[in-house]
Amino acid sequence: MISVSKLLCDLDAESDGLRYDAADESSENQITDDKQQRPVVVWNLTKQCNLYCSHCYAAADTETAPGELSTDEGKALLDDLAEFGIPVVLFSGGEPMVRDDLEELIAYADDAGIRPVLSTNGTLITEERAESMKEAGLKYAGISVDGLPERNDEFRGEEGAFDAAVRGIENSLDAGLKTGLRYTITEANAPDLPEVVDLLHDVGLDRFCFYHLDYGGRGADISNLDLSPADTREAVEMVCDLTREYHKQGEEIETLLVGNYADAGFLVEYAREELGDEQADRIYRYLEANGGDPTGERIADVDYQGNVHMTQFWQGYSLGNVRDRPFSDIWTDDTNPLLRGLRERDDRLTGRCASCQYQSICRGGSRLRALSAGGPFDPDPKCYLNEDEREPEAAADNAVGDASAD
Amino acid sequence: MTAERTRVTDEPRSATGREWEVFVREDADGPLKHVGSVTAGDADSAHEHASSLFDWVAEALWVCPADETRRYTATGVDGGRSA
Repeated sequence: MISVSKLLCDLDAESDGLRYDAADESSENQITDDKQQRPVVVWNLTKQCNLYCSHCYAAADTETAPGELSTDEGKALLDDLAEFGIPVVLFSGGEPMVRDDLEELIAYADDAGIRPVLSTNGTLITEERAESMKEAGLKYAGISVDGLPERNDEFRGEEGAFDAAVRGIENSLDAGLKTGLRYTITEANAPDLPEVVDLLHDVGLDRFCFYHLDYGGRGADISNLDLSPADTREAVEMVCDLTREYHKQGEEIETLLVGNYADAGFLVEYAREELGDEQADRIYRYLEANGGDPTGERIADVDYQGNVHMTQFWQGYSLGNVRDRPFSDIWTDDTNPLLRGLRERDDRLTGRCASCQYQSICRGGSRLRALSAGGPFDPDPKCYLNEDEREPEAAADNAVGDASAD
Repeated sequence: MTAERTRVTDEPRSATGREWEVFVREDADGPLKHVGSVTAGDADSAHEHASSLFDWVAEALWVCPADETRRYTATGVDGGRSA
């Protein structure tokens, strides 16, 4: 998770002691000299959802799945996470609000010293639920909207979903909950982005998280709707420009990018062009301290059946199951060669990643998308940096070579 | 001291396909180690999926249907709930 508003506009957000959460959590201190020691844990409480979104990484359905962790099992999981030092648990789904023990689990996490946050489609946030979640100790609600009303409703498979999400946002804000937008950018909804920000800012939102599409669950089925590299660059540039424009007008919105660490290199290039070398170098140092793509390190996922994954999007492979072994043991088991390899990936990345000048702030981008293109250490096929940006010296040599050939 | 293990519930491990336990041997004279599980419709797909993850390190790779595996533990979150 990269805070555009912090890097480009020096915005300090509400303190939460978290750096990069990759999980739609408040962003204060996300840029620090310290690397986050324990992962943020996404817990998919249920497979069940009241909507059927075309990009759902969890392949959620309208029916519940057999074998979901019970309330007691969930509390035992939270005990282990707390003892292990997990900073944040993100309750997700499916739609986590369909579980009637959600408030009980939020309160349990909060009492155990883990910061409880929520990822939701927002359509079930009534005044009462917003208040009960706030009372239970919820610290943040990230609400998904993926376009202007018609496009969002089509994406989410239900007419009226946009209006219901806006009502949820209003109820959440009225209850005093820190609330933000989650927006997955695709070819279909990229043009809507500025208007959605304007519209929801008018409703009262000041935090906007933009997700690149990752190829997990139904997200893999619509990878053909992912933006081209050129369009991705344009969308990210739009987020940067929009953020600076809001700040110039005195509106201190918080904007974040998630899911494609080519954004880190792009931000440095953007800053060098727009703000000068000193700012660009400062931004580079911040991004380097945070450590690039967090797969297998600063983000983890426990699904509704207790399987542990290296990110919430990577549901097809599990490191182990918490019914067999505590999360803390699974996560620290370096005998798993893939987990170990991803944590030592600097020496293993191949292709254009191996010689990229931004490797230390990107670390290869999405390892799940890389897998879709070949293997776990291959380049992320959605890197949109050009050769001049990745390897300026090699690009200059090639240019000389080309000129000589003429 | 012998750990007191109980059987882990037989609840399904995946709602989108069959789950397959994956085992890898990294060196010819090394142990065959459990390295997690993959979701796949059949054994060939499971092998293909696991290979994409472990080809770079695996001398040998086994996939076994998780629902044919009885698991016993002393440390799971349900305390080894009886199936």
